[in-house]
Amino acid sequence: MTTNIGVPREATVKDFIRMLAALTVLLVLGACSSAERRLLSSGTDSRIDRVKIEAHASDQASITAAISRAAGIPAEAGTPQQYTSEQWRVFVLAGINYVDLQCNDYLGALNRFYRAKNTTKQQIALLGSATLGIMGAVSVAAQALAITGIAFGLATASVDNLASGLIYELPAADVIQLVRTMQQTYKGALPPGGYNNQPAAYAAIQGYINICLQTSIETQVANAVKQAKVEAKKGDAEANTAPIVQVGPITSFSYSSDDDTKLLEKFLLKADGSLDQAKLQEAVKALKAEGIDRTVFELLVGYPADRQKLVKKLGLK
Amino acid sequence: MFVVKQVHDVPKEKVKMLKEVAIAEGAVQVNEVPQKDGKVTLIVIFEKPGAKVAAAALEHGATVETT
Repeated sequence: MTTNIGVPREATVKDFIRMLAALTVLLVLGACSSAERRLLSSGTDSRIDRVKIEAHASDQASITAAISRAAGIPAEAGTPQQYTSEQWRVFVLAGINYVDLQCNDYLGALNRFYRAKNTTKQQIALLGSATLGIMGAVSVAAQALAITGIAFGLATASVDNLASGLIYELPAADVIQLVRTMQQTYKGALPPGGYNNQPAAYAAIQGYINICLQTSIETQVANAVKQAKVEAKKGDAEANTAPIVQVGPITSFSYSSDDDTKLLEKFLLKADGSLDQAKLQEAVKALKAEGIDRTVFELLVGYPADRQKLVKKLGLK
Repeated sequence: MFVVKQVHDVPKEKVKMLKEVAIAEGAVQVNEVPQKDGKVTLIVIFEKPGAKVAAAALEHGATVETT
């Protein structure tokens, strides 16, 4: 049997699968630079980056000198043994700044990889749908359609396998926020007066490096899951509501409205009753300006005191 | 992180507008459950925007502040 376009069906499908496999590899490899692939496979260096720092210094004394220079500690300060606590404090901060640069590169690569991974999968899925449609149009037998569908399924699975590992499964945005929070907390936990010797200063920088290591991030994520506090709201037979259980806050309240609600609704709605997006954005900005950490939605259904502030800020009365 | 807002006793005529506002403000899910008294319970799930903001800032070359 041949297709309507005059090519033996078996050959067409095989060629097509080969082309698909090549395309998949190109899509995935093309999404990241070689430097990023290396960074993603190994994560950040588990030691102070000797490749970069030892390009200028061949031993620990030279590294100390380099960080001291970065910290702005003048040569007149003498040897590290003569540094004051204040000088060790800025020494640690300079080391941390350097680690931040390395960690930013890693997190940036992770973010780009996450997006590239999703885009690649979408492209494969879209390509699959389009091709199945075209093949259907030229009356290819059902068997060929099924084989092609399986091939696309395998291609999608391959992308998943390449990106396996907890850190690649999580949304990069959440990983970045976790690392940022830990970094800020670590900085806040450093002794304000600084350390007074080199080993302690190095240990402080090393501790900061650990936060951005792949294994450390995965451990913290696993800990977060284990320690997750589950919130619950009971179901209500009168209101027909099922229980709500989730990790994260649940707020439950009854709808309330007053004259301010009417003013706010009038402000937000167009003459035809549809939502005016520009006005909504204006209201959101006004909320921020007033320092109210709530949504416009919340103020439309409750929180009369905050609603009154918003109405006043918008000049509605 | 996701936060859930459960609002009871919402008048039916307000539901469409409130759903529209919630979605425009980034709600990832809005469920409406009819109550026996004819009113509606709205269950709205918002995602805290911090994580997305952090990723976007990093993407645009944000620098890390030092203590």
